[in-house]
Amino acid sequence: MYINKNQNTVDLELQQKYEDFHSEALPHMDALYNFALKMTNDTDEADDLVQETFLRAFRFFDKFEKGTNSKAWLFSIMKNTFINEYRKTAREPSKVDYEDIQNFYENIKASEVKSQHVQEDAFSSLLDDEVSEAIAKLPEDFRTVIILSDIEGFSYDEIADFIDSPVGTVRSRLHRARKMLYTTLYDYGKDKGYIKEKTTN
Amino acid sequence: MGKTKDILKRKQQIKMKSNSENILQLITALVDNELDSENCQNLHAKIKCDEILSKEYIIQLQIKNLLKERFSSRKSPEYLQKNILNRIKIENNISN
Repeated sequence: MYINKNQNTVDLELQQKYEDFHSEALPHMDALYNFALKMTNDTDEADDLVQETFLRAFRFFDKFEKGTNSKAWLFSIMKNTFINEYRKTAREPSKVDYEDIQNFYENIKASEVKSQHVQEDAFSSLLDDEVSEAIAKLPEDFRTVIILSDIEGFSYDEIADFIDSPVGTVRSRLHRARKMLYTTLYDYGKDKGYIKEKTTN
Repeated sequence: MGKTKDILKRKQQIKMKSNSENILQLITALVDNELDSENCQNLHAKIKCDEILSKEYIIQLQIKNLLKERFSSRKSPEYLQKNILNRIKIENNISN
């Protein structure tokens, strides 16, 4: 009788934990899926990453402080899962050579961007897959900040926590990431004939 | 004497480069709404009368808007949510 009562209490607690988890974590699944998809650029790998993140999150849900930022908490679990589990078995992460980035960046200063590049609708003809491909080509450190900021809507402080770096680093990487993406997309649009360069006399 | 002059010139160039880099990164912060109102106004005024800064501003804004419009509202597949909840239930012996 005593054992049954105890078992019932455990069941009820577990049920409550499941319901709390459902209402706290599930609303962020789209955001986590988007992030996973953009980080892996593969739907199966994104599915695995999101699934592993949520299973872990449920395991550690007792440690989550109610009323705090559950989205940030879930993203930090996803980051660790990505680093510890996913990246070991998936393709090698692209090592970031900051000198290469600097050289690339030096070559695309605004002063060298022709005025006709800056058109309001320059990228409207690009397909989602083409934009995704360009994002996937960014070095991981730069891809992370641009996804968190522009797709997930994280603040600089939240991104700084996520990547364990100062806000200044977030700002600098974001600036460069957008610039790299712009150049890649512009070249892509030009190659595909979506963007026509005006000739100046 | 010439050597000292060269060093000073180089230092000056580095300082100028670092300043212009700072302004460009502030434009990023402006686009992201991460500047206080005073800095915001000052930078907007600078952007208005400087073609390079103006291009930078448009580039940063254009990419931010592009990604936001194309990807931020994408839904996760329904089967994924079902699979995850099922696995949590099975692993933890939670009844329906």
